[in-house]
Amino acid sequence: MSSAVDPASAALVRGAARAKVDACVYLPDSSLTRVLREFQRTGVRCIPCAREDEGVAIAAGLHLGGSVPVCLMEASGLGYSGLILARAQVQRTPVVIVASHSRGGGEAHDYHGATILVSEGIFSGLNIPYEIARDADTIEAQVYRVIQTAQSQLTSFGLLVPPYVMEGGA
Amino acid sequence: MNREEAITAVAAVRGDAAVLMGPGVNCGLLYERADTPATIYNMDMGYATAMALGVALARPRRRVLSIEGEGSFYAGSTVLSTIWRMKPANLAVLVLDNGVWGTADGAEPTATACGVDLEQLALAAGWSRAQVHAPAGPNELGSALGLALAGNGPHFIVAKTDPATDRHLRSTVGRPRPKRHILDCAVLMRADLKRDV
Repeated sequence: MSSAVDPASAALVRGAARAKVDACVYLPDSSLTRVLREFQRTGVRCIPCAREDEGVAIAAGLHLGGSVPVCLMEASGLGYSGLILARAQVQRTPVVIVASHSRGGGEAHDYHGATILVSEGIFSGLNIPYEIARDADTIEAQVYRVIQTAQSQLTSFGLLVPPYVMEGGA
Repeated sequence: MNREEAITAVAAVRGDAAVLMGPGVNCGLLYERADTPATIYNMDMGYATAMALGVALARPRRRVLSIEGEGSFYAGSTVLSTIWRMKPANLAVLVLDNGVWGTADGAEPTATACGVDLEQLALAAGWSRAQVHAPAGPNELGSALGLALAGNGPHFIVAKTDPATDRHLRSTVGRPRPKRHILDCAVLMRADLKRDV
């Protein structure tokens, strides 16, 4: 995959910048590669982690220290992250997760079946709000609002991104 | 060295360091000896050190110490590689390793009782020898912590403790516990860390 920035990735990072995001904890993911590269290009501190649940814990620590982080991951990583997301909710240290794949349309591969199932299961099971991104035209405002609510309500918040949104077409 | 002696050594040197602790008796022991607003107690198993890494990165001028038992630390030990990639100079990680799970009847061996060597694990994750410490008793532990909290981190300290002389291992009755809700801990730590801005 090319790492040249696409409109949706640029818009997502603009929305994060408007929300004063200053750190991105990530595990590489095909759909979100260009988002990561755009975060890196714009000078946001990017922190690679070894497991997604480790990344969520790092992000919660960043929040404790006054930073405004987001986590980028494939949604499969949410399956590892149930306990630490629950802790983040109990102690009110919000973690915003931008994760690829969702239960909506545009999923082409059978091997993402478990990924799709676990992501919304974790968010629903923990009563963590989440939204599904629809297109490049609205994602800037959407990510800004997601982070705004997470910060004001001290709740974690998920933004699930179907592959076609980042790749410019289904 | 037993666990109480180890935590007493921590209490003597922590100062205003932000401390994030894994689950178990260590939390109650530190609460009784050196509680401060910048303390997270009873972080869920495997996550205290990762969360401490986040705090250290966000607040580079504050000393940050993670304390976990070896059972909890090993569950989240992938963080060793992440810490070494990021190399926060203000972070120290202390693992108190007694070789048994600190739950149930306190008699179930952990991985370190069956061959896992946490010092070697850190070295295998890329850490330089100078940053990895294995103090043998409370005085050495105090010295190692003093060095680690002075900067030039990250530092990784593995301190063996003796389960046979640990009065809290075999009974849950009378175990010391922090008298602060984990929500209040987070609120207080965030407020305390703001002083560094």
